[in-house]
Amino acid sequence: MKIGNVEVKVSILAIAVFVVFTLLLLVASVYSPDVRSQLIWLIPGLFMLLVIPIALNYMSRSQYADITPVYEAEAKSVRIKLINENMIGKPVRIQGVVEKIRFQFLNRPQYIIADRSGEISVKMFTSPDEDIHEHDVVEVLGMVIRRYIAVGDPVINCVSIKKTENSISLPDRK
Amino acid sequence: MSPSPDTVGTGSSSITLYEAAVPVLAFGGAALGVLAWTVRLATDLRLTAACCVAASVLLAYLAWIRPKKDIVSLTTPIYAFIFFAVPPDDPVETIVLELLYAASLTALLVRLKYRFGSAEPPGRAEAALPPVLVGYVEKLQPACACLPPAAAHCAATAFLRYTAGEYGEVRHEADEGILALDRSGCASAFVTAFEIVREQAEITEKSRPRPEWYRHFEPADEPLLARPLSVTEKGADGYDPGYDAALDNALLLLFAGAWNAVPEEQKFLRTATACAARIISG
Repeated sequence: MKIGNVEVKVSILAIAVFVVFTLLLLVASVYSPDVRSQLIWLIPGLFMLLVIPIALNYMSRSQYADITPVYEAEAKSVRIKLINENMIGKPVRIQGVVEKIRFQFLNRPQYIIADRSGEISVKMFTSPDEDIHEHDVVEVLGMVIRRYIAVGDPVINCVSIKKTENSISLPDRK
Repeated sequence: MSPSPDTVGTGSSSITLYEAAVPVLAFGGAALGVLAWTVRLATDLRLTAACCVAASVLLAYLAWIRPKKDIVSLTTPIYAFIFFAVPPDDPVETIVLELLYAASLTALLVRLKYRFGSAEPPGRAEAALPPVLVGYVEKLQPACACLPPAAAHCAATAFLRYTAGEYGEVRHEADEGILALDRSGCASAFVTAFEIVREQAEITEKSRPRPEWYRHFEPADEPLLARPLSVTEKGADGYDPGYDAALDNALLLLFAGAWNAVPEEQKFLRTATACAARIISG
């Protein structure tokens, strides 16, 4: 779904919640006259379960779209191995292969990106512009942050992740 | 500067003791609960549940002192409080809950040990050089004796600035370092290291593509380098391993030089030992 220039994606979880509560409401309204009398606010409430995630996704996607050019200008290309605690708060650009993807169903994907020097977690707090799959070669723009806000190893708070044409042959690090 | 082997040994043994105490406390509390229930001893089972709470706090501490944090283990005291602040009225239910909780804590402890690395006693991580760096830094001690303090300071600053992503600031430190090395009689590899770091910092700062020709170490410098010299030409995929290897060697040489030459620099370099260890273990 597109709103303005922003491609909005609703997470499977939000859709599942909407479907479950719709079914519950249908069943309840069939068997209970009390519920039927409340449909005037229950139905809008039900749709809010979809509207709120869509609105949040739209807002975060448009914010990310606005700051991507800033990162494109300021982020420096670094090897993953050189990303360390002293770089917290620095915008970086990395290129690598997607080794694993987690939490995509929440619209909060976390990618494990590897280059020739090492691997790092890349966290995104919204859905990416394009569908990213494992083994894709990608370029990531983001900021170095700690995994759990104030503690933990350095990870990248991703602002933009895009597939690139370049290929990377990774050494066997196992 | 490094902690004595006795201190390190005491730290490791206390960690082992804490690790053993987690299941002992958790199952011990449950066992006390079983004992009190079987002999019909009128006692508040919250006292035995307190052992589970203490085991949770210990597990959270063990998770906290690891470089890689496990958020599940870190939050177990919260769950312990939720479960045991108001235990079930039925003593059997409380004892079953304690046993299940003790089993969960033990499983989390095993997970912590195998998936989140080894724990480091507080203060040790900052105090000692990571083992992977020790050999290289000690090997370079004789070669660093000639480094003037000013050059060593510039080496430390250039290393710290580069690893902190402050690429624009590296040039000044490298230029100063090269000047300070003039007529010092030190190996030319130190000058080359400054030149490599300066050049690559400038390329990164200005987001330029990697050049075809770049500064690199000569075979004569190899005895002072952490890693063997790589071929300096592109492979079939267009990747030139020599470029990255030159930077790794240069950063490590500056790190080791500063560490060995002026002990006062060590307190600054300690903030970046983890990064140096990552570079050398490459």
